[in-house]
Amino acid sequence: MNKSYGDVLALNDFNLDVWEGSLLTLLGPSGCGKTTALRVIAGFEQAEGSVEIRGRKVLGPGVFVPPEKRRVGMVFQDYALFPHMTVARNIGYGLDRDRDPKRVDELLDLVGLTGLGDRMPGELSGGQQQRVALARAMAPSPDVVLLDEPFSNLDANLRDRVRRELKLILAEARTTAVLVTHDQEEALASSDLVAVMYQGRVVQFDTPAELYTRPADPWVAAFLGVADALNATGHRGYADTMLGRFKTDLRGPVVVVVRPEDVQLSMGEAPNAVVAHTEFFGHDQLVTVALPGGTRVRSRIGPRPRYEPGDHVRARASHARVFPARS
Amino acid sequence: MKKLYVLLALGALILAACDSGGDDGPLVIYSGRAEELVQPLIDRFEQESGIEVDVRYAGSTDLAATLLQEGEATEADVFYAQDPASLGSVASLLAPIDDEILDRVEPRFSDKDGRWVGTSGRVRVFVYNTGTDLPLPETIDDVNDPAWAGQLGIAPTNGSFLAFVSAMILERGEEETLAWLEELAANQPVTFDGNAPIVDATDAGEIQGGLVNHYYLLRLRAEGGGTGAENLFIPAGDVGSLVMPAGAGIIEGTDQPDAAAQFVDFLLSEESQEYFATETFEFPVIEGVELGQGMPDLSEIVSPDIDLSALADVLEDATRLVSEAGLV
Amino acid sequence: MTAGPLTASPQAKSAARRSPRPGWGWWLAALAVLAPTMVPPLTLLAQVIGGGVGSAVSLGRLAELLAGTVALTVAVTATALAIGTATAWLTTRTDLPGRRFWMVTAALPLVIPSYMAALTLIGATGPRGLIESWLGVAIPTPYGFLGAWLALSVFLAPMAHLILTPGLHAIDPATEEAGTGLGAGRWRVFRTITLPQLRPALVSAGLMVGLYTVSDFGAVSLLRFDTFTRAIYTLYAGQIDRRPAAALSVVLMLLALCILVVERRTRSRAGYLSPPTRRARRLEALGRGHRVAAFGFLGGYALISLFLPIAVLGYWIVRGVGAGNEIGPLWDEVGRSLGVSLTAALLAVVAAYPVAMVTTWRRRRLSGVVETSVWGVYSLPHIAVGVAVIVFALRGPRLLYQTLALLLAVYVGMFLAQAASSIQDSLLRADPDLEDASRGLGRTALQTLARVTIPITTPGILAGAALVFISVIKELPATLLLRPTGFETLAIRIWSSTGEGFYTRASAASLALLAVSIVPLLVLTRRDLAST
Repeated sequence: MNKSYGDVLALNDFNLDVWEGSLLTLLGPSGCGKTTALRVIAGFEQAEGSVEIRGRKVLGPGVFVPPEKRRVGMVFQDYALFPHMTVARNIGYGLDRDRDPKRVDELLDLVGLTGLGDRMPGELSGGQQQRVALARAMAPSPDVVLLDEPFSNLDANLRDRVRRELKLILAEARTTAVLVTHDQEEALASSDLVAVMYQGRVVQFDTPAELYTRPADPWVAAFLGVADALNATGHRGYADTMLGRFKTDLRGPVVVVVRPEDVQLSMGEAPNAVVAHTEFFGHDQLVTVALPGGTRVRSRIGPRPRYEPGDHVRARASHARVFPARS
Repeated sequence: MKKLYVLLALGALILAACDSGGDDGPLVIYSGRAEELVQPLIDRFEQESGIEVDVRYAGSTDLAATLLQEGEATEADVFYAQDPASLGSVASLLAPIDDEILDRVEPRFSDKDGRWVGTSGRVRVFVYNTGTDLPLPETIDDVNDPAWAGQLGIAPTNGSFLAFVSAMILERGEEETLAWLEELAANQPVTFDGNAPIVDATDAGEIQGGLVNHYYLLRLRAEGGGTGAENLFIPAGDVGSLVMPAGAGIIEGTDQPDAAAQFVDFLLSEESQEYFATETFEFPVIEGVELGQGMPDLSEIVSPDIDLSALADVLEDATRLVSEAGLV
Repeated sequence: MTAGPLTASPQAKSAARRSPRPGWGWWLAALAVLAPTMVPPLTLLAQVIGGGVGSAVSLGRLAELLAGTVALTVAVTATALAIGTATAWLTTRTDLPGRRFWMVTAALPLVIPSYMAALTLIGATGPRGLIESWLGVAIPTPYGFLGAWLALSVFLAPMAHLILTPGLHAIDPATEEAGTGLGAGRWRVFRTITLPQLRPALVSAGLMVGLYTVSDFGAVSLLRFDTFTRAIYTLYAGQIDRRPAAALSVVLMLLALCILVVERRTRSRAGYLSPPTRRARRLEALGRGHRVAAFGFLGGYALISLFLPIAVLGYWIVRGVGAGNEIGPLWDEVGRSLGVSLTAALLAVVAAYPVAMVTTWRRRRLSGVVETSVWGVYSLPHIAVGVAVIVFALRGPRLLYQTLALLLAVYVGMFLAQAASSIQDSLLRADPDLEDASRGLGRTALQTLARVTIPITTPGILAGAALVFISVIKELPATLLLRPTGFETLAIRIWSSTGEGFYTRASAASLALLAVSIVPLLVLTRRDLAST
């Protein structure tokens, strides 16, 4: 699909398929069009292109199914709970009147809010509000649940817990879900599949593990975690760097991207770098070293031994990705 | 914030500029007569005498009540009212008027005890729509003809109407007056707050007639309207064509007795009397002033002989009867 | 301790803010402002208890007045809310072209006082009215209930519009989308989500409109519909004995307080969630048919509420001048109206500031009482206040009797609530910690007030001042009773000229009043325009 606001292209040849029952995450920096994509799926925005939900075309040339007929559940960033209704009435809003009255209780149980149905949303904590929003979205058994930055309003401790619970709840209900976030860790930890978006395009679409270990380009590598780049030249199947020799089919100028956890340091033997800066985290440390020529590379290693600035060390990378240098 | 302070200063400045009061205090007139009618005259007085004047405009009865409430502390120097009843009800607060002034006016227009002097004459009339086919009244009792049900306009709280009711009490006694008022009420008259709207409504044909003072129609004509209505001076010579003066009195203990007397004198000058006759269409109270357009000679109108000074004594009763009859 | 992954339990977030500073200075100032406002109701009560009611008004008459007043209030409130909701919704939530223009035109009639509205109705209808002169067909003038209902509804709708517009802005649009996403159609979303969330705004708009109607004097008098205010004035002006007017004033006061109590009871228990993060607002796309209907509605409303009054006034001026009438200079009246309104507006915001402070940042248990009494005083019908203050001034501080100072004090007291609520609004939007930040940086309390607190609440101060300005310049009954001798304002001029049938001058004064009120009204709408 395509979508533009005036001259600004919000979505550009955006194209994705989601498997039923899985959790897909749209990940990207703010303004990359991920929320727009979600709103197009929900029907709150119009766009060119087509959207099919469970084989039913809801958007296409001459087709526009209004949001109330799409069978899509949405969890909003601020939850958008109806402040004037009780929790139970919030959850029951999307249910037909003659539906099983126990359904609301089931959902309360599902999201772990048993007995809180008579509270007003304002009387709940942020995490509880979030779960009400989820229960409300799932109440009419939608074909897909859309979650717009669902964890951004929770503090860090709560976030991990709620994220785990959300995954369990969705799995239990076998609901297909699309989640939007700008938080890489969140995306990697909670999703079956992640689509990394940049400027309205999907740059890479893969499982979390693949994304991390095989980023499609240096930008994705840097966006998903910490990475350092070295310049090198591809020659006869290899690229040679200060950190070692890496296989590549590319020829000419290349960029070699290494992650800190793949960089090892050792003292004594043939030093090729000087420690510039260290940060100690307890369970590990992050050591920044300067290579001859000034390029800096980070290394995440165990807490021992401790390095001090000025130490001469040997740095070596066990693993790296090689990309063509940008012209 | 600076803007706010500037505005505050501006507001105070404007107020200061508008506050015309000097130290001696201007001559304060409580006027029960409308500003529209009286102000031009007062402007002229200020110009000619050099005396500064402040006027408080309100209803005549309202001002009479205010004067009674204020008592001796009042700042008023002159009470200029549109009906003898209001003047009479504050007679105890008024100083006697100079005989020299009183003598210039026909005695029937002034207070017997000389506490106030009539300044212009007005006559109660029956105003009617020229297109009406209802029977025009020949006596005040004909007004209650059932044919007029729902077609008659009255202003039961207006001073002139109350003065008219007071006159009826003096002429017929309380009982008969109440009976007349009840008959009037039974005929479901349309009630107004003042005389002008009655004349407007009659002119427009919304009602067929009403009990008002004679000059409202003449003034409406001067404004460019009034072509659909006519005044009827009820011929029987009963209270229906009562002649009532507007008048003025000087407050006892005023700190400006000379200026106050000068003002009353001014109201009786030829110039003022001419103004009443031609601009407000009232009858002059001194001899030899020409009448305004469309005004009949006062001597042609048959009117009852009522002791104006006694009107005030029954004003309270009139008010009570009007409300007892269910008109307010 | 259980086996398994160890987690540090998150620090319990303290729900309650730190308790506010006591703010004795603010409280002292607020109480000093409030104490004198209790004078009118207490005086009236004392007068009636001590002096009796005079020739009492009959019970039948009382019932008649009560029925008339209540019926008119209910009808006008319902109609004005309906019109105001429609104009506010169309101009804030739809993609109607020219929304900003319509937003202002829908608010403009606020400057038209009720007596001018009545005057318009009288001038437009009836034989030889404006409508007949244009169309050749006369619509009979709707005197009585119908006329009062029409005039008040049309000209009070802007009040509802102005209160409902920010109310609509405060609703998180995502809640409406959530409703749509859950399968609710447009109408169900409006009925079950938008409207209930708008309820607090609707209730306060209803309170404003209702109180105005109960205490309206100009429209009911000119259109001859019997309500308490009209009866009080005729008793006051038409009788030497003033006790019956005072007695009726007490009844009217109680009626107004009843409305206030109903409003307090109607407040919903729904707590409000934290305000939504600012994000682009989605506008309701109107179809072509709806768009035409919306234009018709807004255009028709502007025609009746703005064009018609100005046309009638112009028509009268042209007709009157043609017949040789003088308009006369109105500069003195303009100056007095402007001066008294500006001064009252600024005094009111100064007086309201401590009141707003003790009901927001310096909130204590007593704050509820303060709020209720400010609104209680606001709800007092002006004519009753006028009657009471005259009694008070004649008995007590004679020095104040018939002075400008007393009139200004009465204005400030009567409209304190308007200024206070605007300032409250601004204070609630700002963070009280800013004060601490300033004090922490070495500023004294007064410096903090002047350089931090007042500047951040300037929008509220300006809006409050504008609101009071418009109210004062339009005010009639209290001005009529309390003005110093010779202090004729535009409102008084319009009233007295109309009563004596001098429509030319009344029209000229009306146009002058409108012209002077436009600027503060634009101040009021600027806020809404900014958030569009």
